[in-house]
Amino acid sequence: MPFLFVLILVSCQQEESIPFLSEEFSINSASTGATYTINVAFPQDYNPNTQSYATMYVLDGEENFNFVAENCERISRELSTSNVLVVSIGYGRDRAIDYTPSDANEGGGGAAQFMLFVKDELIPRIESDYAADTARESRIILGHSFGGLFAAYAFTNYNAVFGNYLMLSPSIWYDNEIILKMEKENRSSIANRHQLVYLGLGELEGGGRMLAPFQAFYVQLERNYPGIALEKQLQPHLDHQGSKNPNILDGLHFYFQNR
Amino acid sequence: MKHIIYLSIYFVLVSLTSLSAQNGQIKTAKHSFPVAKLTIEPAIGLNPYSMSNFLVSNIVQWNIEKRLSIVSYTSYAYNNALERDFNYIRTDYNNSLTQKFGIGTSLYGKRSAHTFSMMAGIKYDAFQETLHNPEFEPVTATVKSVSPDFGLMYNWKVGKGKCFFSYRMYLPIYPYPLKSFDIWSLDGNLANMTMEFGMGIRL
Repeated sequence: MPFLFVLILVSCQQEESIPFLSEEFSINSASTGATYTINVAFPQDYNPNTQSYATMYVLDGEENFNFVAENCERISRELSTSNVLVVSIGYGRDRAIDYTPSDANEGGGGAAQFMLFVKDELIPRIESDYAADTARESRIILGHSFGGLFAAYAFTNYNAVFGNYLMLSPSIWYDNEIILKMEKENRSSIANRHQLVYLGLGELEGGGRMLAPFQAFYVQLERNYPGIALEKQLQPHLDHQGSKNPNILDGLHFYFQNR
Repeated sequence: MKHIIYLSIYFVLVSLTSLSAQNGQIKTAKHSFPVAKLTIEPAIGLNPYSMSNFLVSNIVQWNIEKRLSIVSYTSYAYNNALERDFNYIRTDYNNSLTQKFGIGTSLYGKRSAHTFSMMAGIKYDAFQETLHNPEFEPVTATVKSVSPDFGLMYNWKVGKGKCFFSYRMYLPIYPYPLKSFDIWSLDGNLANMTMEFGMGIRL
């Protein structure tokens, strides 16, 4: 009975939420042939006449948009720094197609087309319609799992687009660690750029595929990128999905403190 | 709100299981299921979520009274047993050790007993993976972690002799909701859920 009581007490806790203003629109992509629902969350003090804002592109937008937008507002306030525009990218094609860099057993390899959609269709629209800073250093991409894999792909193959990468439980294992190969191939042209990379994982992701490639990617970045602001975090006692939000919080803190 | 709904469903299910067991007992019980002071119940089992974590375990149940018992549970799990080399990622080892204690109450039928215990303890996880893709230099990564373990255990005993059949199921309440209210963290609970079958001995 006391056990039940404790749980009921815990279940009655209210999560404090921070309201934010947002706009929604759709883009029919010429690159992928799919339609994407885009949401844009504005900083509470958004003033397009006096300021331009960094922009955070959030993959798996349906799942992550509210959490990221609320916590960008909260953390930027705590650190007394300016907030970002949060751009949620909803699902168009299957995420196993859009977020994967090659055709393999687990995915369709549509990342190149999806990246063209982001680079040539979405970003120009955001930067023309909103007060978004157009510098590479002011663009952030955030993704989890296959979304983290796509963020890693953007890092290795389209490094001129984003300056900041929050990769949460990235599926580096995908297609025999093809991302590690892409990183190696592109290293000479991107290693001297300034980058901010946050790599997060759940400590108990012990399914035999996440930990070693994650560590290998971290080691490659740490050894070969002199201008990188790099952080690695294993969320204690948490698994693949459970570590996502704690890693979003830590990744946002790392970004706002080190950008 | 979502959390409250999930927790409510959880407790309705647990309560229904308990009530159904109790109703069965009221109809058929002649209170002839033997209640020993001490039972030892070794078992083997698995995690039904991954279907690839196998374990051996033992429960020692001390019946203080007919309906009140103290339980000690020990287990060793061999995890990720079915996929130890995937995409050049070798699992060198992946084991868990658990020790927890609980307090339980039992409902008795004619030939069986149902014990519900609230458990608390610790779980030690250790695993190591090596990336041995020939295109890169080998990288090994290790995790050793001690985490709390809380949950509800259901134990079903059938048989009147010195030995009996024992089935048990463990539903963790960690990390959700005790560490985190994030519904996504339920995958950690699922990864620690177990179903076990074994033989019990009355002492």
